[in-house]
Amino acid sequence: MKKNDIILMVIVLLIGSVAFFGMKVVQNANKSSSEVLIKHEGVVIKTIPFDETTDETFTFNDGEHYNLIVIKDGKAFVQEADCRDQICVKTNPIALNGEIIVCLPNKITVEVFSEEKQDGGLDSIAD
Amino acid sequence: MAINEKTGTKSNTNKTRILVFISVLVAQGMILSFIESMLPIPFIAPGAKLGLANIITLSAIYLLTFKQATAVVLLRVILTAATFGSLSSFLYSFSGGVLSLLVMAAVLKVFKGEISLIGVSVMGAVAHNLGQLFVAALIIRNILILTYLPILLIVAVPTGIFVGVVARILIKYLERININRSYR
Repeated sequence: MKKNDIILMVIVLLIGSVAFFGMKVVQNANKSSSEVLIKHEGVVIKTIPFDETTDETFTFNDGEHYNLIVIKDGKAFVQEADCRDQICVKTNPIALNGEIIVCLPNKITVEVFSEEKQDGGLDSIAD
Repeated sequence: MAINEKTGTKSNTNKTRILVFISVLVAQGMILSFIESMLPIPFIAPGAKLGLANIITLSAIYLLTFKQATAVVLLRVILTAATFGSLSSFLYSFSGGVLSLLVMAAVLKVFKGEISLIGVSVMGAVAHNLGQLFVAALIIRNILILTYLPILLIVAVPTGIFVGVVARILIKYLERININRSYR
């Protein structure tokens, strides 16, 4: 192990951490009217608008594979899947814009999509 | 005539030795890929792998020519997919394997003497994870999966250190065969 190895590792860790926290900041930005998009091979198969009170489940089933997706308490997660690695089930529940749960074996993604907040200013004038 | 025969025999022996050595590395790589596929997955990010087969890739780059190392990686990837894998597992290991081969060979060539095997291996692990993640993005057709990039960079450091340490031990043993002294 040489000094240059340490420098290299610190650089890699630094880029990773900065990008990680930068991403969190962007995801935490003030957004409203969120919906959950469930996609199979990039094609949206289900859109579920959600907020804190939404309590819904959706089962993806193409005859070969299935994923049971649950939306509860303002968060979405995969409760059950028949994939080999179970990464989607282990992924933490998602709620913020741009967060994603991936099931590679079943080619399923669950992502949160929020639009920019547009009310507020205009509405208060109208009132 | 006699000289020609002699050199002919000798170079055939060399070719055979290298062929056998490449085969041994391919077999080791296949077994490591197989073992890795049986391990429970400790990472919760898609694309993150321990990259055990990178031990063999790194040893091949270090002990053989670039061409021979490429042969080791391609044979390992194709044979592993044909024996234990599927089309998508082939795409993942192909992109991960080839990208880490290219990056490690380049780093070893450019920074030889300035960086140890462990640093090379960390770069290889980064390349391995990136390659797998890009293929994953293509397969599921969702660019948002690239939000896993930062985590994969961080994960690559410990896995890269592990692979580098093991490769260093393996190379110490393999060097006793003297494959790189006169047969290269």
